[in-house]
Amino acid sequence: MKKTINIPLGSQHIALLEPVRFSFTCENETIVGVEADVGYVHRGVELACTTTFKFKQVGYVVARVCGLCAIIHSTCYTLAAEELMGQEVPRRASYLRLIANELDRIHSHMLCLAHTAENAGFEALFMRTMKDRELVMEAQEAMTGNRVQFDYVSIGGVNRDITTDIEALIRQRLGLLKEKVGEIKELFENNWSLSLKYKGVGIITAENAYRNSALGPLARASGIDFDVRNESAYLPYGELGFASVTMSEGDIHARNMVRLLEVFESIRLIESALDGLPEGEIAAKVRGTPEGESYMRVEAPRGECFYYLKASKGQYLDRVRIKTPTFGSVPAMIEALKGANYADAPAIIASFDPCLSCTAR
Amino acid sequence: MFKALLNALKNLFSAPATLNYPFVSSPKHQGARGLILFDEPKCVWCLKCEEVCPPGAIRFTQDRESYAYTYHYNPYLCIYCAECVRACPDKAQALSQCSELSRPTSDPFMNDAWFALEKEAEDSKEAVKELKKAKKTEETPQP
Amino acid sequence: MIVTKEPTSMENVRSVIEAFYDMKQWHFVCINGLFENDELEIQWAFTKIGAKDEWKVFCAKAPGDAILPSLADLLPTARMYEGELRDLLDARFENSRKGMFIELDGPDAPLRRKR
Repeated sequence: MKKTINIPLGSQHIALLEPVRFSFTCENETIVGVEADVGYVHRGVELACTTTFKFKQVGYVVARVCGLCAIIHSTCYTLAAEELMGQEVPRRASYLRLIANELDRIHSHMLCLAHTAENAGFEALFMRTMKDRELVMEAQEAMTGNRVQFDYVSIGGVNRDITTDIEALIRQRLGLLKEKVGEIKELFENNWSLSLKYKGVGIITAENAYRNSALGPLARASGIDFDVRNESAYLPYGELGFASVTMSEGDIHARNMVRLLEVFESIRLIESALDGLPEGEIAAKVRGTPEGESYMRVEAPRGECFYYLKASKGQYLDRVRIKTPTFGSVPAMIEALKGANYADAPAIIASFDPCLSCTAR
Repeated sequence: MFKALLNALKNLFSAPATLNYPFVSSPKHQGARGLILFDEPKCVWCLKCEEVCPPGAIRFTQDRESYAYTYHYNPYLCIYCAECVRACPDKAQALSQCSELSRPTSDPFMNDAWFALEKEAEDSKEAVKELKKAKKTEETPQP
Repeated sequence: MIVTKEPTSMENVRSVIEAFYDMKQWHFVCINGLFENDELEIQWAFTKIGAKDEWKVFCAKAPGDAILPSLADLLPTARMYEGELRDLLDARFENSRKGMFIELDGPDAPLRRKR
C-alpha cells in the first residue's frame, strides 16, 4: 500500500495572496516532497518591453510588473538604461530615488509582517500592522503623488521634487511609525502563541541557503551577510552608512525579525538622506540612445532584483531580462517545506513573502 | 501583556481607523496625480506628448483637407505619469495635471470607439502625408 | 560595473562552471537567454559576494534546436531558470519540461518572435 498522500495547495487558496500551486507529498503530517508551479499570471512583459514600447517608456511598463515593489523595478531598469547611455544623474535625484526605494521597502515589509501574522492565526495583529502601514503609505503618496504606482523615476532623474512641507510630513510620519513598529516588534518577540508558531519552524541552515543561492531577508535570517545595498554603488547607500541586518537562526521568527529590524534601518536611512539632501537639479537632460549590454541589480524588499538589457542604438531594446527575487527563492522555499508539518505550510510560505505577479511577469 | 490588554481596551472604544468610503471621500494630498487637462489655444501642435505617452492615451487625428489636428484623450488609459506635461515645450505649456480622477463608466463599447480612433489617428496622418507628397509633385514642373 | 565575460562552448560549460563555482564566494544570479539570427546564446551570470558590482558571466552559443546541458544538480536554482527559458525561448535544456512557467495551452516560445 502507498504510504504517502498528495495534497495540493493552491493555485487558489485562502492562505495565499497570489496564485501559486504547491503539490505536497505527505507522510502522515510531515511533508516529504514538494513540487511548485508558478506562472499563473504571466503577462509577457519582457516581450512587450522589446516590441511595443520605446526605451523611454519601458520604465513605466516594468513598474507594472509588481504592485508592491514598483519603484524598485523602475529604478533598476532606469539605472541599467542610464549605464548603457552614459547618462549623468544629479546627486539630488539619486538621493530622492533612495528615499522612495526605502519607503517602498518599509511598506512591503509591513505588508509581509501583517500577512505572516494572519497566517499564524493572529488576525488582530494583522489589522494593527496594516493600520500602521497606512502611515508610510501616506508619506509615499505625499512624496510621489500616487499611492501604488509611483511613476517617480525616469531616465535622467526623478519626476518631482520634494518641498519642505513634504519633508516635514515624511519625518513626522516616520517618527510615528518608529514608535508603532517598536510595539509590533515587542509583540513578535514576546508573544507566546506567535513564538509557538514561528520559532524553530521552517528552518534553512546557512549551508542550505548558500546552496540554493538564497537572497534577501531569507539569506540574512540564515546568517549570510548578503545585501545588494552593500554590493552596488549606483545608489548612495555607502555615503549614508548602511548597515545590513543579520540573524543566525534561519526560522520564520528570524525572518520576521530581520524584516522588523530592516524597517528601523530604512527609517534611519531615510532620515539621514533627508538631512543630507544635496541641493540642485532633479533631472538631467537625456541624450543619446542605449547601446551595449548591462547587468544591474537593486535590492528589492524580497531580495535582489536583476535586470539585463541589450540594445543596439535603436528606439527599441533588443532584450530585457528580468529576474525577480521570489522566482530565485522558490528552491529555498521547497527546501524549507521539506520535513515541516503540513499545518505549518501556509506560515512558512507567507514568511518568504512570495510575490507571484513579480515571478510570472 | 498588560500593555497589550490596555491597548485592546483602548481600541474597543476608539473610532475605526477606516473611512466610510462612498459617503466620506478619502483625503487627497496636495499635488496628488490625476487627469491631464488640455488648453487648446496654447498648443503648438508639435505632437511630442503623443510620442512620449507610455500607454498611448493621447492621440491626434488630422483633418484630410485643412490638415488641422484634433486632440483626443482617453482618461481610462491614462496612468497619470505626467510624462506629457514634461514633454510639452516651455513656450506652449498647453498640458497640465489636476488631481481629479476619471469617473467610472457604464459604456460597454468604450474600447471599440477608442481602437477605431487609434486607427483613424494613424490613417489620417498617413493620408495627409500622401496628399502633401502628391501636391508637391504636382506643383514642381516635370522635366 | 566590472563584467568579465567568458565565452565557452556548450560541451565545456559544465566542467568550467564546476571548476569555477564556490558557493561561499560567488552568488549565482540567473541564467539569461538571447535568441539572435537563429542562434541561442545562454549566459550564466554570477556576482562576487562582498565585492562592489563584480560580475562573472559565462556564455555559450548553440543552434536553436540543440539540446542544452542542465546544471540543476550543481546550482539548484538553475532548474527554475531552465524551466522558464524552456517556455519563453524554447531553449531545450536536458530534463526540463514545458508548462512550468507558461501553461501548456499558452503561447509557444513568445520571445522568439520578431518585432
